Amino acid sequence: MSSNRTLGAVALLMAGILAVFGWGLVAPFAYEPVGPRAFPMLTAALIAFCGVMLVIRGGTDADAVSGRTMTGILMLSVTLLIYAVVFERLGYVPSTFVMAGVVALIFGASLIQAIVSGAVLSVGSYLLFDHGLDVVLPTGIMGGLI
Amino acid sequence: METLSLLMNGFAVAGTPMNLALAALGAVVGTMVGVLPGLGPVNAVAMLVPVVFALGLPPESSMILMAAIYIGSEYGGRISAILINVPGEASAVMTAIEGYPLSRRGMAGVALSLSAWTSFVGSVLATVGIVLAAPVLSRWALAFGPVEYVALMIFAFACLTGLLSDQPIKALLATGIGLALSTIGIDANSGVMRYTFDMPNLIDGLAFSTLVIGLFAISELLILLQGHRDGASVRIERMGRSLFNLSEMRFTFASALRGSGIGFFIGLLPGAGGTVASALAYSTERKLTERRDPQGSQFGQGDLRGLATVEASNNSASNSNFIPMLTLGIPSSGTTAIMLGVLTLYNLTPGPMLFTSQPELVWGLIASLFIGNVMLLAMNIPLVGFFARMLTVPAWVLVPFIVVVSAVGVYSGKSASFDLILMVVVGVAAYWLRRMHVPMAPLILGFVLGGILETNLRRSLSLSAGDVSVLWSSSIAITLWVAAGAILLLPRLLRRALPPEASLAED
Repeated sequence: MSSNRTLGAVALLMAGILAVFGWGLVAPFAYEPVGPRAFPMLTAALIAFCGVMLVIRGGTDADAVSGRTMTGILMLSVTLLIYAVVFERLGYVPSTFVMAGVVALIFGASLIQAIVSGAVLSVGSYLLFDHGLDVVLPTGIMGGLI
Repeated sequence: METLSLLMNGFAVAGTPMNLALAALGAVVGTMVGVLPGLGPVNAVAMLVPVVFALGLPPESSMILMAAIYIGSEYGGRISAILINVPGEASAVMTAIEGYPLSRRGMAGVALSLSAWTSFVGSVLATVGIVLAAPVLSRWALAFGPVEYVALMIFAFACLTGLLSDQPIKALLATGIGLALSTIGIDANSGVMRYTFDMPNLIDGLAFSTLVIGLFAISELLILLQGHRDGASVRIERMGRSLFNLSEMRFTFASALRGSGIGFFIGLLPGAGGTVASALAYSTERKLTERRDPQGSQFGQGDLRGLATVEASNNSASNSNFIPMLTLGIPSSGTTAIMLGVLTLYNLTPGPMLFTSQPELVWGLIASLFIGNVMLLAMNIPLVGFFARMLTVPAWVLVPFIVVVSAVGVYSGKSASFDLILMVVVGVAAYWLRRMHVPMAPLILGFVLGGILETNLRRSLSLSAGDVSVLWSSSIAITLWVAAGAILLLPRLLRRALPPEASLAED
C-alpha cells in the first residue's frame, strides 16, 4: 500500500473515531443554537474529506528509509517511551542516566562516551533544575541521596 | 506622534536590565539553534514554553525572549548555509546557493559579514514597517466582530494551506488534526466533556506545552536520527577576509533594499514566512541582474547581490510576521503560533485589543525587535567562529540534552507521568506525519486557533439564531472569504514563478 493511501486510511479512521465518540456530545440544557457537537463534526468531515482525497490519489511521498535507520528510529522511540514511564517511579537521576546513555549509543557514541555523558547530564541537570531553578523532580529510588 | 511616545514607552519596557538580558540570551540561543541543521526557532521556543512559566516571567518578558530566538535563528541559519552548504533553516536554502560558492572561493568571511549586515538592514526596515503599519491595522481590526473573525481564520488557514505546502491536501489534513485536538476537554459553553475518555488528565484539554514539545522537539530527534544515519561529516571552509569593504556594501545595497521590501510584504501573509520571501527575492534579483548586467552576473557561482537580497528578505519577512500576529491574532508561522499560544496561557486574548489593553507588551516587544537586531549584528560579526563551532558538537551530546530539557519542561507543568507519555506519543506520531510530508505549522495553528474559531462561530450563529448566512453578511467577511478562495488558487501561479526547491517550506 502506498504511503499516501496509508495516510488517507489513517485520516479516515481518525474521522471515524471523532464522529463515533462525538455523536453523543449533546448539552443537557441548550442555551444556543449550536451546541458542543457541531464543531467536532465539521472537523471530522474535513479530516474525512482529506482522507478520501489521499486514498483516491495514492502515490508515495515518504522519504525512503533504510532498515538500519528504521531499527534506530524504533529503538529511540521505545527508549523515550520507557523513559517517560519510569521517570517518576525510578526517579529523575537513574532514569535520565540510562536514557541519556542509550540515546548516546543510538547516535553513535562509544560505550565510555555514553556512560560519562549520561552521568554528567543526569547529575548535572538534576543539580541545575532541582537545586538551581527550583523545579521539583522525582527522587524515586535514590530518595534522600542527593 | 502618539505612536512615537508609545514606542518610547516600549523602549523603556524592553530596556529594563532583565528584558535586555533576556533579549541577549534569546539572540545567542536563537543563533545557536539557527546554526544547527534540523533544530530551529520552533523547536527552541517549544522547549521554552514551560520554562518561562517555571521562571515566573511576565508575559512581555516571555515574548521578548521568544522573539529574540525567532529573529536570531534567521541570522544563524545563514552560517551553516554559507560554511557547509547545509541550510540551518528552511529559509536559508537560497542563502546556500550563492553563499557556499563564495566560501569555496575563500570569501566565507565576506559572505558571512555581508549577510549579517543585510539581515540587519532587512530586519530593521521591517520593524520600522511594524511601527508604522501595526497601529493602523489594529484600529481597523477593532471593527471585527465574531462573523469577521470566523472569516479571518478561514483566510489564515487558506493561506497556510495554499502558500506553505506543495501539497495543499496534507496541509488541510494537518489543520483538521489541530482543530480536532483543540476540542479535547471540557466545553466551556455547555460543560460537556469532549473526547476525554474518562481520563482526568484530559479534562482541561491537551496541555499546550506537552503538545508543542512533542510535535517540535521529540519528532525532531527522530528526524535528526534519520539524517544522522544517512548524513556526511562536516567540513568547514577557511574564513578568508573577515569583513566586507565599502564598495561591496555599496554594490549590494540596492539588492538588500529590494529584498527587504519583498520580504516585508510576503511576511504579512499568514503562512508565508522567510522561505517563500527569500525564494521570491532571489528569483527577482536574478532576473533583474541578468537583464541589466548579463556580463557581471555571477548568479549560481557566488553573487554577492543574490546573497544580500536573500538574507535581507528572509529577515524582513520574519520580522513583519509579527504584524498579523499582533494586530489580528493570526500567527504566520509555527513559531509565532506558539508565541500566541503562550499569550493565551497568560489569559491574554491575542488580537487587536492587545494594543489598547497591553500596550507595554506590544510596544515592548516591538522595541525589543530593534534592540535584538542590534545585538545580533554586534554578536554575529565577531563571534561567527564561535557559532560555527556549534556544528562540530556531536549528536550524541546534543540529543540527550534536548530530551532532558523537554522532559523536565513537560514535567514541571503538571508533575504527571501522563504528560511525559503523551509527549512521546505525540512526538512519534508527529514524526510519522512529517515523514509523510504532512506539515506541522498548520497543525499547531489549528490547535491554537481552534478554540477561538469555535467560540466565534458559535457566537455568530447565536446572534443570528442559527442562520448560517450570517457568516457572509458583512463586506469585510465577504472580502476575506473571496481572498481565501483566491489564495487557494494562487500557489498554482506562484509555483511557476518560483524555483521548485522553494515550494516545500516549514518554519
